[in-house]
Amino acid sequence: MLPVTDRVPVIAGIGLSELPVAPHLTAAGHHALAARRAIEDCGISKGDIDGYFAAGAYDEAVTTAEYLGIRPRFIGGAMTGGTSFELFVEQAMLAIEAGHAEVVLISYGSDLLSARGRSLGTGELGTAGGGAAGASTAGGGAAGTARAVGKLVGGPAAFEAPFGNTLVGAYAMAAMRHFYEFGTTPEQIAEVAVAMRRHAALNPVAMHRDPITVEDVTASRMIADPLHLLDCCLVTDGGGAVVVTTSERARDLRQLPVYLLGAASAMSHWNVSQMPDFTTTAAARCGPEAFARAGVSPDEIDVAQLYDSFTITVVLLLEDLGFCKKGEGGSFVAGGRLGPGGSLPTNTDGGGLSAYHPGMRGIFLLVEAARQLRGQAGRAQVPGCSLALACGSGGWLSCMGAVIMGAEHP
Amino acid sequence: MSVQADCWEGRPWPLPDAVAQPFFDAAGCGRLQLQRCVNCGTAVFYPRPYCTVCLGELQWIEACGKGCIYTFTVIRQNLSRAWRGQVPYVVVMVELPEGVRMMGNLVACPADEVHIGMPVEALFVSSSAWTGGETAGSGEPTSDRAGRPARGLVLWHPIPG
Repeated sequence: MLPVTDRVPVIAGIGLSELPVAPHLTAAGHHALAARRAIEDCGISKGDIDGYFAAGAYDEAVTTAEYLGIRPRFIGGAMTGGTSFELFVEQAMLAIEAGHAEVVLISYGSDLLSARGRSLGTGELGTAGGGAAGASTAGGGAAGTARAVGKLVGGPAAFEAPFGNTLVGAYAMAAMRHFYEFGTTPEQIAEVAVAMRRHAALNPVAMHRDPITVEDVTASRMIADPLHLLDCCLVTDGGGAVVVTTSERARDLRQLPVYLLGAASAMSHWNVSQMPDFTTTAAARCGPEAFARAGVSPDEIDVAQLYDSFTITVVLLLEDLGFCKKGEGGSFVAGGRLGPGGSLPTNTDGGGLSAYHPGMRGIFLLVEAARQLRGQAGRAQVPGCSLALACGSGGWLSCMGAVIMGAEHP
Repeated sequence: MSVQADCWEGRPWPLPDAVAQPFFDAAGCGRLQLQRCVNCGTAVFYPRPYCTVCLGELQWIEACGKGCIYTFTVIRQNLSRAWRGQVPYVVVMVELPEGVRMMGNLVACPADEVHIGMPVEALFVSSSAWTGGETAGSGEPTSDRAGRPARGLVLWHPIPG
């Protein structure tokens, strides 16, 4: 017998905008299209939305709420990088449980590829303190005025930008340290890219679907040692949205609810030079917390959606979330374990490495996890999927958010 | 420790706030300084207004200027205007015996000889474009009490062994 008021939070609706390339859509257009599709997906009335969360490199919740014509009574939008959306789910869960909101919309939209082109996190935005996820760092503290003699940078960026580190370079330094401490190899982390590409082959809207091998990855050009081109996520356009509401409300809606069983987040630093330990992320703190809240363990997870900004990111998350011991991530990802038919299918839409990465991938982790739990993942469907984990990584391995979702009412 | 004046002019250059100014003033004189907490003894870098552990008062201390490489990467692609002509170059995280890490560039060392644990020593560079009387000029921030452009910058080179 369910309680009279069943306020267990659920994802009731999901939507994607047009992926992976949509030159006709602005960032706000991606927000709107994804939101419309998520609203239509669950059949809720737009006017019932009373909570709203959004973040982006170039927009924020107050702006997009106005664009969308939403007047929330509960609003949030802390920019924690690509994982912002996992943190929003955690906050939405609390708001729903406490009765501060009934229907929460979380949306994301980006025209990164069409507006700015691909620089692999090594362009003007890729300098330290000024990556896509941290544009505000450079913009806020720095003069930012390009002059004949370069530009002046202030704030924490004054201690990184003068050395020309890139977004890729930050993750490369984590990989280099992991190789040094644990003997991890380029071939091992390349397995992550290979597995993501095998999933992408099953996703008709993935950016790249042709199979690749470990040799293809390690033979691709070096971007920042030891990360090769194919160790790096894509730059695409795209948007996504989810509707979070109560289990009770979801009973009258169109789709099977996806139950939000437990979520947790943690931050260890923002600028990469402040990372306490380059081989351990804050997921080592929020992972166990999320599992405890959900009352499940890593070996029960049927499908994982782990932010694959770079191959090394997935290795670090697998270790920190407890799927394997620290230092064993390299061997864990070998043998196709993360690919289709593997024991831990991961990033079943093809991930940021092969499907889509418009700058912040967190929303897509949630949408794909929900698709799997509903049994709507098409050729990518993991049979009998009843428990899913989404874990985002934001900034420069800075902020982590883990969300555990289930097909069954807790 | 020598002060060189050969810093290429495209390099983004620090415009420190009041808290960070002493670090760059010292670097301009060939000295490596960082902060230590008067209350709990924690070494702090980058410069902060108060201690990152206990929020206690900080004082500037002289660092020995040596350290070893904690991790590094070789940047082989950077499409930004400032850097595209500089690749490949080495970005290092240097661990100092005083208890902090600093990002920097390793110079005077072939990229394929860099390794974690390598002992390195601070190298101070200045840029005449930024220190030779040119002022911050227009377009600078007015809200964060920015000081003057840094007098010097800390890079690293291998300790000959």
